[in-house]
Amino acid sequence: MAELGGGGDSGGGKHGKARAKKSSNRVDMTPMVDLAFLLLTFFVLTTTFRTPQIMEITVPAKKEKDDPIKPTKFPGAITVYLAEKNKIYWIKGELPKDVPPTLTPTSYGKDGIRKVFLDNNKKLNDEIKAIEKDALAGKVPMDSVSPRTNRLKGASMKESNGQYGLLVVIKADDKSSYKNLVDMFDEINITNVANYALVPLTPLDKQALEGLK
Amino acid sequence: MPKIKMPKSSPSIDMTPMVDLAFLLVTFFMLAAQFKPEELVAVEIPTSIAENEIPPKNIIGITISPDNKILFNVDGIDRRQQMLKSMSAKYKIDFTPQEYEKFGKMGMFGAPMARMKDFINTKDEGERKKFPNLGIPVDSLDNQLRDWVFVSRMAFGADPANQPVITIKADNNTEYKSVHAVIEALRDNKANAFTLITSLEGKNQ
Repeated sequence: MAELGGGGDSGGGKHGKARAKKSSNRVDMTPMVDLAFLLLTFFVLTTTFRTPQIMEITVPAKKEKDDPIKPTKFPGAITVYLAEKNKIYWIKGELPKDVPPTLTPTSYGKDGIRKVFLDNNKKLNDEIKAIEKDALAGKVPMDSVSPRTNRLKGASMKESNGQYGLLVVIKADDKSSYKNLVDMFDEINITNVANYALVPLTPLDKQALEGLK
Repeated sequence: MPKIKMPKSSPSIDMTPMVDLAFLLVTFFMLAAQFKPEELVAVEIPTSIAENEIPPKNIIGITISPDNKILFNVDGIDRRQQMLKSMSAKYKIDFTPQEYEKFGKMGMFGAPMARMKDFINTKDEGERKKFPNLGIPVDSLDNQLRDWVFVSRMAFGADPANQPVITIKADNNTEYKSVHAVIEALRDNKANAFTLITSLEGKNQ
């Protein structure tokens, strides 16, 4: 098959004249090309280009005595309940101490929980949006955005500033899915919520969710 | 009128440019190839707007499968062997040098310590996927994940330039219960900052 110019000399008999054998001076490249395409296909299929993204999460350190954070310190806090079957409920303000909380159903996404967050976090969100806009316009350096927004988020939670930033308390049911949790963090990032906490359900919460089934 | 001359043409097409291109692409893909990492369980990750890319090395990876099995992975052969050594001391299970060797190169793993020897001695990936006791226990009585996190962080040492990124990778349908168990295991180790692996989604969704 593969031939290289010149050709073999198989013609040499006993009384043969040295004859130049007629042969094409082309190499048959078909097998090589076959192999090249095989390799090409292999590498195309096995390569991953887009590396996955990572979302940074920080949880509070565990204390010796595990006391849950007290949302009562932040009267405007919103508690979000992630329930099974992609259901989601929320309640604003302090949770009642001895009766199950009255929860409002909503949905994941733009018109659901995001709107709730935006409505309750308008001032902080606008401030952060303004900083981002300045950075995009080139008025402030891009790498100063994240420290500035973080400082702003911290300041918005201070009592002396009127606590206008939003605190979101996430309470996820055991049966809710991981996607629900990631969606929740997504909304928190989109709406520039000042702070969030991941808190276990209390018996009263469970009772409330049970009642909504 | 002159006779119409048919242009002399060879019936075969010159394929050289195509072959050139094919080889160029082969070379490109060979050099740019980052092979899909070995995975013992199929995990479909959720999408998010997070834009940070996962670092190429120094990763402590925790994977939670849709049926709530927990798997562990750390890069670096020396580190892995050191981890296994610490675990072997803690659980009083001895491993042979061959087993250390094999564990170092294995990739993702997940088995209770009592079955770890069998897990290491599996023939290949396919056999590991079917391993009957796949998954690291995280029960409150027998929280081996906590120990794995501890020994892996020890293996990274104290060098601030060499600190690991802890990643949690779970399936869309993984129950929060097991995610919570993993987060608690991390908190027990004072690993309060970690990352969730997601894939990119459109910004306006």
